[in-house]
Amino acid sequence: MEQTVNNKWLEEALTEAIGSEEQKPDFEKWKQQHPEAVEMLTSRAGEGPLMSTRPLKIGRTIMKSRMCKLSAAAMIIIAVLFGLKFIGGPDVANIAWAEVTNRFAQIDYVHIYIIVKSRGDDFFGHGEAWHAHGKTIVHGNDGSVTYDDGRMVQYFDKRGMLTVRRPSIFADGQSFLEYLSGGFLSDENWQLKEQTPTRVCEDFLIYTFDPPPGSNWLDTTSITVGRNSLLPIQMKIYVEDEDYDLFIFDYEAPEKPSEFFIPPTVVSANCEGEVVLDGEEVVLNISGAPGLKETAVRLYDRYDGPAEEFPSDYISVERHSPDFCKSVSEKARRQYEKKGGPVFRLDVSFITDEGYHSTTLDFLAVWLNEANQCGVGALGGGLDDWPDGKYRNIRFSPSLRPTDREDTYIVEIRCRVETKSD
Amino acid sequence: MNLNSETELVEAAQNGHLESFGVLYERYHSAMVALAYSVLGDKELADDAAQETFAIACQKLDSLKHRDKFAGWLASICRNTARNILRSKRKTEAGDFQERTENTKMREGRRDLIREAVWKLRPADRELIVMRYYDGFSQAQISSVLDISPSAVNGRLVRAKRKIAKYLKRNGFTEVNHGTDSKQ
Repeated sequence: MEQTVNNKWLEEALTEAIGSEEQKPDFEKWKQQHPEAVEMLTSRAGEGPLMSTRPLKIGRTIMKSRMCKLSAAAMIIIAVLFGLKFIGGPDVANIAWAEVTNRFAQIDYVHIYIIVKSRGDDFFGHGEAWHAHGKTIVHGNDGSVTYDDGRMVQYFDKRGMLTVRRPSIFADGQSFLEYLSGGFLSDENWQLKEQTPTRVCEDFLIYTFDPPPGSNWLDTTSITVGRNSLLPIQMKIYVEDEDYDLFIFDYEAPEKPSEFFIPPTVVSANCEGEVVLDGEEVVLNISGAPGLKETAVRLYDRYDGPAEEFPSDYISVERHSPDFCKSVSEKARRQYEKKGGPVFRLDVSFITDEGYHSTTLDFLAVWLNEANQCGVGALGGGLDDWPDGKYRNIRFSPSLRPTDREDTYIVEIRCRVETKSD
Repeated sequence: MNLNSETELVEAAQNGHLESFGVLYERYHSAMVALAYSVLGDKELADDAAQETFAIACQKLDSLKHRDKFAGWLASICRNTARNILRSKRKTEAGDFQERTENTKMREGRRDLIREAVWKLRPADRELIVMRYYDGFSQAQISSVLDISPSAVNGRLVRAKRKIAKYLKRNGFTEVNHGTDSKQ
């Protein structure tokens, strides 16, 4: 039961803080400022039915005569007697997808069961997600946990190591449905928003969306929506062949306590030290990562210019093909366009307890105060990288933070070695 | 609101009748400014976003199939337009705003603290609060523009205000010092 919040002081305070002086809309001025839009609209004159272009009588129709009022009253009585909806109930066959997304955006709490049938290997994975009051937690089928507080997202792998930390996509205006669908169900997609159900059933509606143009993994997306609630009940994203990701929405699950949404305390990094931009390589001692002794890092190529001038050869490494470097640079440019600068390049290589050197990961573009999962070794450079031929894959997440000295930064690395016994 | 006249206005505008679009402009301009303000937190930018919203709506009007959903459709254009502006200004204006909100704890500016409380709300709740208090829209008007039921508007406004009151109280702002401040 809602308690009434009827605090006069709060009303006054809100009006004072966000109230605005009334501005009269000035359509004439708008017309002058948007001649192209006006021209586009007026050019349609004559295309539609003549009836529509006639001047409209605008305003309320006032029933002046007694006869009119009686007639209207009689019409209402007849409509009620025959069970008609006078104003007209929702025409469910015409409910645009935008209405579903609007309803879903108003939900305070939802628990989602995720089933992944993938990808031709009889693999079934199960995950769960909770989205509550702007915070999101996803338990992946691989034991990973993602915490998103709406500002930052932190990804912990199955061993509890923080491997990704970056601004939340929700801070950028994405919706939770967009997030679940891997960006496909975007609020900015006009075609999707206008789409109506492909099937109308007694209790639910089904929306079916074609894959986005050029998608090489996503097939049809089918979403079952409650006919009355207009909330998604199930979302099935078909991928290649007959595999799919299935999301089941549970709005009745008991709410998790607020502590549930708080990420665990991050254990200190395995190594940390100062690096100077365009300076010498720095060797840092690693602790708490069995099998690894040291890491060598170098920071260079700071860029903070306009996105359109982002160098196409930002990532240029001799041992990689020009095409590869170009594609990695392009990816960095796209990220730069979204995040802004400055961006840096960081070289990282590891030295094992046995004294073996890993290959250098020299195409990392890093942003301040962010961490991303990286890998080098068995997966990054191939088994042959290790003189003894043993499988060693090093997973690590570097992050960079500024100091009060120009061109000096703290680099922090969390890392571990995966061997075959893992 | 006379629903029939609105669908007729939209239909007429779709057929190139500029005056009908003008009526829609005047009907929804303030609501769009308020809606954009709830995203941007800046009155000038919100006004720009509203102007741009009508320009986009004018150009895309013939793609609107459900004429009775014009307000909701316009609101979604407005949200997207405001978000785009926010993205492009993120490094400047939006960043400044974030900074301001962080600094308010130090400065204890009353208005800033209230704005901070409002901007801590979920975007959907913030929209309601801003529309209610930015230009004094009634719950019925908000319901019409955002296409949600009046009872839902009422319930969410109550919950949002409770959250704001709680936040203000936690930060030492109460009815007592509001009154004191008002007299100064």
